[in-house]
Amino acid sequence: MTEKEYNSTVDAYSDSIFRFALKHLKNEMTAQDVVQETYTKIWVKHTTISFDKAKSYLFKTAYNLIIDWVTKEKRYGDFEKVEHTVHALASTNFDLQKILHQALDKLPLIQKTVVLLRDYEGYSYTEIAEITQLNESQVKVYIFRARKALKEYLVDIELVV
Amino acid sequence: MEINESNYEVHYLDYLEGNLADEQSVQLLAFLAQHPDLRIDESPLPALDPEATITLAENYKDQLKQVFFQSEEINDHTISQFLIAETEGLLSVSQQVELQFYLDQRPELLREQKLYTLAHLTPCTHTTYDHKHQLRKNSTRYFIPLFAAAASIVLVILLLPTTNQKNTIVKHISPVKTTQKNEIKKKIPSVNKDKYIQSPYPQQTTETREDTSETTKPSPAPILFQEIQLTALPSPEAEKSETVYLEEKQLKKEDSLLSQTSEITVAHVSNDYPIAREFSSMNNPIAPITNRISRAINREIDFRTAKPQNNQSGGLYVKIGKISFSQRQY
Repeated sequence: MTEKEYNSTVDAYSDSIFRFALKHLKNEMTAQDVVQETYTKIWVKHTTISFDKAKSYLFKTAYNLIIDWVTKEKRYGDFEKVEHTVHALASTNFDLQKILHQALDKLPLIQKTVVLLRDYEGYSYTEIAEITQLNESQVKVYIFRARKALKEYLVDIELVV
Repeated sequence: MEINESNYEVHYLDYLEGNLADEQSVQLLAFLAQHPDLRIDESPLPALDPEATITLAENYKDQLKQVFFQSEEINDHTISQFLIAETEGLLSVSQQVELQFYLDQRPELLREQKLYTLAHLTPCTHTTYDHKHQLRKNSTRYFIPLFAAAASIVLVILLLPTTNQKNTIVKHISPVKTTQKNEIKKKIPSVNKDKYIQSPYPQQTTETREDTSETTKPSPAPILFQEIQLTALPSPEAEKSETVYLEEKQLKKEDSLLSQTSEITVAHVSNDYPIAREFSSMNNPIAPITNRISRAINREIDFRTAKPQNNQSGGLYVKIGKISFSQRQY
């Protein structure tokens, strides 16, 4: 990857990486740090990275940094332990995506990651498996569980249907 | 063993667990009777139940299984997988037909189908990273500050004010030959001390220092200004003369030569005559910068300095193209 190609990845993917990190970390400053560190690591190896693989490499690096951060902070809880408080929201200012993002925050880290990569970035199962270092079947299982959990979060909202 | 305040807990625990001998139990009870404040509630002590600590979720085995959607028969147990697979675009045409047939028979599942369809996220595109400029790399941008820094140094040096009022500026086109020292020995009255000293010989920079020994060849190198003092001027010990100047006749002759050359060497002369630094002993502290600028503008650029040491003075020498500049510091 040339310097010009590297700069093009900054323009193309830094927003996505930032959103990806922000969704996981819930802290803008920390998400910015992840983006900075991700691109720093990429720049160090940019001569050995193929431009075609740059996006995947970026997300893989960012994901590992997020894992490190989350492991350090241990800020994630179980989805099942969270009270379903969407009723009030639904009755007043209903916003499906807002509710879904609330539900997303309650998912286990790996489920959240695969759903974000799937829905935000449109990655295939194979690409997600490469980024998260899982096999394809594991990715599908996590996506299925995440979908089911998100659906359960919506299940009581009569306004949706 | 006598029971006291320091060891009664050991006996007390054995007593509560029924492991204390009768004799010791009597002693313990007597001790506690004397110290009622040490008596604790004799209800059973809390204990950890190994059976009670392990509470597994009912579906924990299902969670461990790595089974994804398979082409199974659609029923109440597999309908969720089929609905999710439908939203993920994983169903074949025949499976979609089969699912639709199943949903037609179970219309209450249409709500489930819609919920799964809705359970997809859309990116928050308004959330952007605002510091992209910090991430971009541009290797050429470092040249501009480097060039600017080098240019600034050269500019500062060129504009350096002469703060030492004792010094007198002397300009000459070419170093005065050592062999001509007798011709410039004549001292001019102090009224005319601000006049220039001009050599009657045009500069030939290709000449070497050794060549100056010959009477017919002019000497090179602006550092020979030092030699003016050492050879043409009276020694400071012998006579405290201020400055030696050329005769009017020679000045006129040199004025014509001045217009023929662009190389000017400027130096400061004081009333004292310490031994100045040799040009060869001066160093260029910014050689990479000057070399780079020299290559960039395709002109010779030199910059040398020397600090005063012992009885030797410091100095500064700058050359840009055909223009050179030197300064003495005493």
